[in-house]
Amino acid sequence: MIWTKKYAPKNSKELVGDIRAIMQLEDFVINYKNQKKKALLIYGPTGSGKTEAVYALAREKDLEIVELNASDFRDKESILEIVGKAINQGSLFGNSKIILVDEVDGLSGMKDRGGATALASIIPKSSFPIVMTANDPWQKKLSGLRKKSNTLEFAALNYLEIFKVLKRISENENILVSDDILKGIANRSGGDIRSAINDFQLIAFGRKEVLKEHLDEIGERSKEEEIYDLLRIIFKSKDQNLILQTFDKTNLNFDEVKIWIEENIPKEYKGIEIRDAFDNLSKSDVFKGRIIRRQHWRFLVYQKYFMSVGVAIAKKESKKGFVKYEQSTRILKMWMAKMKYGKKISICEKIADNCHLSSKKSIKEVFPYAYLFLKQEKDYLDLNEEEFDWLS
Amino acid sequence: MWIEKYRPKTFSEIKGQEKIVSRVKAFVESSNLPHLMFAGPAGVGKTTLSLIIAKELFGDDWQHNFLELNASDERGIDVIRHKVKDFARTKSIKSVPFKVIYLDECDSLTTEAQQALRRTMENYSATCRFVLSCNYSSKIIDPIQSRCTVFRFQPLSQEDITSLVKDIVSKENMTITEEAIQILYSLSGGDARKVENILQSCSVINKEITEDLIYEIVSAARPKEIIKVLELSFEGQFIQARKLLLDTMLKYGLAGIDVIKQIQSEALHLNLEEEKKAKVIEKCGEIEFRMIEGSDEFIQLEALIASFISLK
Repeated sequence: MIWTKKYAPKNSKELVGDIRAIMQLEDFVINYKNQKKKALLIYGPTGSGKTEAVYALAREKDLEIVELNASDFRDKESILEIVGKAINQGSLFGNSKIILVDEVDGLSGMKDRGGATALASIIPKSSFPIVMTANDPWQKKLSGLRKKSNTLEFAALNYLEIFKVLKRISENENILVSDDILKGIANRSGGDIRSAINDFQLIAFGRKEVLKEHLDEIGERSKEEEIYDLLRIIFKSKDQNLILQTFDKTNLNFDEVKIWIEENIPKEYKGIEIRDAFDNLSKSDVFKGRIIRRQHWRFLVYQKYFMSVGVAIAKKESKKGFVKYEQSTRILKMWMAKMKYGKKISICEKIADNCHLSSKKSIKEVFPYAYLFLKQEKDYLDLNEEEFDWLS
Repeated sequence: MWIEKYRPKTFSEIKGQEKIVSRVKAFVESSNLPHLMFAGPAGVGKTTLSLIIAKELFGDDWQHNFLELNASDERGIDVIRHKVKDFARTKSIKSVPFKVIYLDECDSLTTEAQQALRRTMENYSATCRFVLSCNYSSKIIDPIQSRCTVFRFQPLSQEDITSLVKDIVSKENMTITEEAIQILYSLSGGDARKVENILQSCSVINKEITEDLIYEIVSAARPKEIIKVLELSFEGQFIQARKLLLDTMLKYGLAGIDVIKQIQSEALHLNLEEEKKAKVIEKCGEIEFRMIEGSDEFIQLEALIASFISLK
């Protein structure tokens, strides 16, 4: 049996993740009669537990779920047919129900024509809670739905929460595996609990004990090959069409590609080629920042252009010869340092509490000048042993 | 913590800001306080003055009638609103007809959040007075400024810092040379909190404070490795330069902006032709801007050091 199903939470107590969001979801469903807006649009990254939270709530409160997901036709007619009926009919067994429209941002333009508008039009008439999920709720085609709905964000899961779930599964399945390996799986999933559980099941299949080397089996190989191909085209070619087409075809995550490009620029380029390549990579990152801050997704065009073509045209001539591209360790190093600096942050929070400051300011303005004497202030700041040791 | 031990507790103990202190004192003595805005750099007495206002107004009960919030730590304006609401629900105990809410680092609030803050100020102005503090009043929206009496704090003068240093040094049974005081003043830029932290750090190492000791402590806050990173990039050793940069940042917990600040301030002392120094500073400015707009600090810093490759 697939573990993601086997270990799906049975009630909201078993849910992991964004507790605040889960409680707000529960509040919406239970106090549905008092809601001004009759639908709830929950959004968040893949595997943050959106759909699972709705199902767990339904199981716990014994509610029926009428679900419409991306595999159903969701054009105007089907929406009116399925949802339109459901919003008024009493439930089959007299229970109340939740109408769940999963992955509403996946409503496709052609096939599901008019779907979003139809949905928006029937929301105000519903006598049962309508819950929609989306990864990216800011798409233009959802603007009508957004106006009619309350929105609720599900934050990506912390790797430690994912780790706890994996740990529970390993105990249940009697699999011998170290905490470090489970943490590794949790960490590389990037907050996607579904993929973490799937990865774990894959490498644990037919084994009683999972070792570090088994980690390599998780789909990394083919991804790496795809990255190598992409890097070769960027570093060797100047053909803008070819570069952009290859970039458009790939399913790789741009942030990951960026890190690979960043790491390998100085392996291929020399002198001012490095300068110009990084200048363009830096411009690409500026557009990324603007996308995040303003949710203006059209900037993606420029982010992509500067990181691919921008880096490609920085070279004076096409590069020949074979270069072994290497994976960057920067993100890993930063992550490890962050773990280590957790103590520094907790110490600075204590300074903040005691000295009328923000923790940001105590990190920036106090700590650099104060770390020498902080040990003496152990009692005043109420430092614990770990924090005290970290200062030595 | 000396920054708390030596925090002034009465109006008369405050160093500098004489005009501001005397006007605020007059407000407090008449038990009639407008909303206030304190604008000015770090470590010049904004929080201290607010705490004294509360203590003078409410005496021993001050903590029940004074709410201190920090805009950069509270998670969003909604949290601030809730806390203000809870605090404003009960009446002030003393003869003073209002409570005081101190909101620090207001310039870290977005414009939208400031609009929300403005409404909150209006809703509770019958029962609460707000004291807002910020580094730059220009970052605060006009509707808020117009509701407040704005005071602009100045960095402490050399005399103020000197008297502060002499006070502390004698109370802690230490000694300090005149040159060291001079250096301390110029390094601190009139920031009393920085001065006190440096002094307390000195006290751990040596009770006799000299110029050298102060330099030693301050330079630890500005790692030498960054200079090495610059040299490597000028020589075109990009891979080594960025490795050292990353390791240094992680070792000292530096943010990207810290690195840029240090490069920019040290550019003038580099062994470079004058036009090239100007190029370095220009690049720092450009990259600092991109860093604010962008998403990945380290990519931006790499672009910065890569731009030095052809300079030498």
